[in-house]
Amino acid sequence: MNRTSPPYPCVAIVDDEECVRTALAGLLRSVDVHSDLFESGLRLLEHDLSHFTLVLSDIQMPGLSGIELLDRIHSIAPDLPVALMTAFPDAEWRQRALEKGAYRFLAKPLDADAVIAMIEGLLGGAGQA
Amino acid sequence: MVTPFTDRTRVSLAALTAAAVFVIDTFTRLQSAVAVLYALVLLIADDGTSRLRPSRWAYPCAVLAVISFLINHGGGADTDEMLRLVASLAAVTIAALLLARNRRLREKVRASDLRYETIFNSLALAIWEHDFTQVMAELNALKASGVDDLEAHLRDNPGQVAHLCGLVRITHANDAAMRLLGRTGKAGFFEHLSDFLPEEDKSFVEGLLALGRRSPTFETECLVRGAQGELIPIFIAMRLPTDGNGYDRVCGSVLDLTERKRMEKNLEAARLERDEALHRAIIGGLSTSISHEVSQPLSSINAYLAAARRWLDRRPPDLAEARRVIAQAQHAGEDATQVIAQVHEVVERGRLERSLVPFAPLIRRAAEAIRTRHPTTSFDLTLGDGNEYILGEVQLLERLVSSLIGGGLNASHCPEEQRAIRIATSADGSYVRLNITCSAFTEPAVPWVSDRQPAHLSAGGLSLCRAIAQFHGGSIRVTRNGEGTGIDIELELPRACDEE
Repeated sequence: MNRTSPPYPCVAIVDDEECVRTALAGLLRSVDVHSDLFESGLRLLEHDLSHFTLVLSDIQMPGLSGIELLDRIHSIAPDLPVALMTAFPDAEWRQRALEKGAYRFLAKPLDADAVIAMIEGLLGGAGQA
Repeated sequence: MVTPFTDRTRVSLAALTAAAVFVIDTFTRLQSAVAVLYALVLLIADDGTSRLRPSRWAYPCAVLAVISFLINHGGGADTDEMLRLVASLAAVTIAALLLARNRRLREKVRASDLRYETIFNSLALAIWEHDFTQVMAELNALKASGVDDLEAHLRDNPGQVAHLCGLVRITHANDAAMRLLGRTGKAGFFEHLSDFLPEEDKSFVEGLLALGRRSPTFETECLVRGAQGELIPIFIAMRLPTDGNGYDRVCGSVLDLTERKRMEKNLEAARLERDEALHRAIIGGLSTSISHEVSQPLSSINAYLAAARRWLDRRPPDLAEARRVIAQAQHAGEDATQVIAQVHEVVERGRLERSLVPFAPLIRRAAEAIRTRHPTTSFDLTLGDGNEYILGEVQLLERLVSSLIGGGLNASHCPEEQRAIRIATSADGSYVRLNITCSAFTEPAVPWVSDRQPAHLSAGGLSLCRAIAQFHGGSIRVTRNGEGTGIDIELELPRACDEE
């Protein structure tokens, strides 16, 4: 699937932790970036991925893990950047994520400024597909 | 008949007696059956063993009686003289038969004794025989002197206890007892109980009290001193006389507990080691859980605070938005605090101790406690018969069950009076199960419920619940129930045997 640029920046936030989802949405709103929230990767896949500038997904989730979601997304939208985050940021997960083509690997607790910098950098054009 | 004579003396004496009877019978004119006295020869010759058979003496005596008869009477004996001969021969025969019967009886007794001795010595169980005769005499004397409270008397007079111990004679011991105490010959076995019962022993007083009460049995665990002075743990059981007789032969059956004590010590060491390992494992698991649980609200807090800073940095600052996200950050902080408090409570108790925990009462306690806090909620409890046990740390298990029931209940967003929760236990041979079914949920509660973690269980720490379940070898499954408006929680734990 060839990606066309979304009409406005929108980040898909995928995390089974509701508190994380809403907090990230609030953070993005403070920099005028819209976000859609999904409690699982399967819920995200029900939507049109072309609407999103970035997918920010947790790795450890029931059903579909973040790594599996990354595979599924890249099979549908190969150019859509997918940043993965985890509360278990060991070297093995990092390596697996980056090997699979993750845009970024973020450790929880999240560094909010790093998240903003990543998104601003992406929206600045360097990372946009 | 067993006489104190030696074989040679006995034979000589019998021969002399036979010769004397022959001389008297042959060369005197006594008008009586002198030959009857040959029966004496048989009695003298009988040594009580099978070595000298009575027939060996009976035949010569009978021959001597006939020779004497022929010398005296030839072929002209009258009827009286014939009858005297017959009476004499009959006496010798009867004596021989009686002695033969006695010999057979003695042989039976001897065989029985030998069999008893063989059994006695071939037993793996150590047995020694006590003679409490003197002890009983002293106890009776104490009673006669007015000592009513024997226990108090013995407690106040330890010297007398030691004295009584010295009066207990050991009259017999089998080979196993020899081996147990490291003795090499029966002659070398201890003569008195005090020879191998340590002075600090407390069990002897209990034995004295049993004797004083005329108890039919006495058994105790105690230490005895072996030949090399080593202390040996034993269990001893005795059947005591109840009719006042037989205190001179009281057998004690003795079990060597050395191996059992060693096994117990090893088992205890292994148990401590296992508990240490389990403790480390659960602390490790809990650390991971803590890390995961706390990292979520911390991520939220970081995000909210960063957002607040950005709202405040705007020109003009958006104070309303800043206040809103700061309030959310505060709420996330409370979640983190709650998780930390729960973990802290578990960890600060230190060592985890496992015991057999009845499953149904555990569930009932937790459910009743929660029901009192939610009086208008519908509770349906279907609990097992109480025969199912789990091996676990009771406080961890209580926390686990309370968290699951409370978490399931709180996941509902509808008014409390519309909530319904069904709690049931079941079991098979290997596992016990707790099923919690929460219904009457309203949107948007359902989207929060994943197959891993209902939203409100997050605050209670489902990860912590999982860690506790895994610590006990169990698991937790959380699923939407049939209509998609509630959740089913299943806790499965390994079932323990009652004997465990």
